[in-house]
This record gives sequence, structure tokens and C-alpha cells, in this order.
Amino acid sequence: MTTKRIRPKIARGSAELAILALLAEQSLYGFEISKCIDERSGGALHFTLASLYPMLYDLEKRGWIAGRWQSNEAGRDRRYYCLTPDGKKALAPLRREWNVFFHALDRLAGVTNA
Amino acid sequence: MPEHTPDRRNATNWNEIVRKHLPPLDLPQKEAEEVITELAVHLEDVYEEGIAQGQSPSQARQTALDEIARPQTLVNDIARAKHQEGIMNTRTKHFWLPGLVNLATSMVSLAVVIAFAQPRVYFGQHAATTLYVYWLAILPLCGAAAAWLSRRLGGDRLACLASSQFTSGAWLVCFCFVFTVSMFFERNRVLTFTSFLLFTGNWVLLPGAAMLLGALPFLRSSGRAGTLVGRS
Repeated sequence: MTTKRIRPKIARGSAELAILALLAEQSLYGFEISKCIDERSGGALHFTLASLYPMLYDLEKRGWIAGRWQSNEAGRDRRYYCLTPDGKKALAPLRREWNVFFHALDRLAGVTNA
Repeated sequence: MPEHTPDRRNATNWNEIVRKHLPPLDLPQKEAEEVITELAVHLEDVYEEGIAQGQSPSQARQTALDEIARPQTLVNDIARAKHQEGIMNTRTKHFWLPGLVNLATSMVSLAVVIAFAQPRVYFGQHAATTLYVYWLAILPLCGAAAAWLSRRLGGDRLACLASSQFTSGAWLVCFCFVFTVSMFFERNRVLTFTSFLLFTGNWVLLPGAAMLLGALPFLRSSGRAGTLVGRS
């Protein structure tokens, strides 16, 4: 079964949760974040530079993530993002919200067995 | 690891390309430079990934440039994400605006009641206070208006509750200030603790309860689901 890429309109809503969930595990820079999301979602979710960075800056403004320049393993400078304590607090309710959302959508539109 | 500024040697060409393609960022100079560098290193990574996957340099370059195909939208989105919160920020929308609506409606209704109705006067120990029953009857509407507005603008349960109690909070702050100044700085013996309790009961607790009554229907479920959809 091939995974069809999710349309940007739908994918955009999930970006917040996807980014926070990834950064809860480790610090990553922008390109790594987009690669990880792409790989872990089996290609269903794909964030371009244009969709990723405004979301990263917005999360940073809200104090949920923090970015700082560091050298990566190859000695090249990248801006790494990590989850802040506020971001950790925000992640659990966000996961619950999406859980409620999926259940509601499933009841409404029967998406599980589609 | 110590914090340091980015080394731009590896991204020099991409820096230039980003500068050439993007309209000026509406950000402070240093912040704009940092954003350009970050976007440039991202494009460089996309380019190198393309090369690693067997693309020709021109194909890989085009793949990278496709990421900034709508430069004006990108610049607007970045500026909005970095700084611009619109006319009102979240706290203003969820709390201050509904709170001020609560205060304004309750004060206007109090003025109308004072103009047309006689208050009931209650006496305590060395103190007396007035009670406007008609005003108390109107206050649930003021509480409901604030809670509805807060909810409508995406406020959560706490914001709805706090904005519906804004008038009571304002009265409490006033009374505490007047009481403190009178008792401890002016040594005013007329204003007793009993009078403070009487005033607080009549102007803070009773109105607060009345406004809470009006706000209750809006406190049953949180407005957070709406917030999530709004952010998406």
C-alpha cells in the first residue's frame, strides 16, 4: 500500500503537535525536523521550508521551543531547537486534544475503516 | 555547548540566493540576518540531499529553490510568526476585552439603577452600606456577556471565569486600597474592619455571585477545541 501525501491544508494543523513531539525526544534543526516528520509519517506529512519555519518561529514566540546556534557533527552551524519546560507542559494537553479530535472525526466520518 | 553566532562560510552562496529571492524581512536587522542564514542553510541541506540522491546540480538547485517558490507569502508568514500578533494579543482577546465589557456594562447598569431606584441600606457595627437589588438582578447578564465574549474569542474556562468577575475584582482592589490607606496610613478609626467586610459582601461577593450565575452556561465546556482549530 502506498502512502498518499496529506494535503497541506490538513497537514498544517498537525505541524504544531508533530514538531513538539519530535523535539520532546531530542534537539533538532529545521531540516532534520522536516526529514524526521517525512520519514516517521511514511511520507504522508511533508513540511517545506515555507510551512516549517513560520511554525517554528511561532512556537518559539510562544515560549514552547527555544532555538540556538550550534555546530553539528560535521562542524557546520545549524540552529537547533529544543523543547522548553512550557512546551513540555503544552504537549500533553495538545495530544489529548488531538485524541478527542480524531475520535470525534471517527464518529462523525468513520475515518478508521476508510 | 556555548552559544555562538553562525559560521556563514558554508552558506555564503545560499545566503546570497535567499537575499536575492526574498523581499526584505520586516524585522530588526540582526533578526533578519539570522532568519536569512537559517533559511540559507536549510536550502543548502536540501541541495546537498538532492545531489546525494543523484540529481544534477541544476536539478538539486531547482529543488531547493522550489522551497521558496512563494517568497512574499513566506516573508509575511515569518514576520507574523516572529512579531505581529494582530491588533490584539491572546490575553487581551481572552481576558482584558471581555473583562472591560463586563466592567462597562455593570457600571452603566449601576448608573441607571441609581438614577431610577432607591437602594436598601444595611447597617453593621459602626458601618452602613447600600444594596441595589435591581442592579444585582441585571448583573448575571453582564457576567454572561463577558463569559460569552471570552469564549467566542477562544478563551479557556479560566479566562471566561476571570473576565466574568472583572467588576468584582476591580471593586475588591479599590476597597483593599482605600481600607489599607485609611486604616494604616491615615489612622482612620471610622472605617472599621466590619465596614470593610460589609462593603466587600455587598459590592464584591454578591455581585460576583450574580455575575457567576450568568457566566455558568459558558463555563461548562472549554473553548480550547476552537482554539486548536483556529491555530491550524
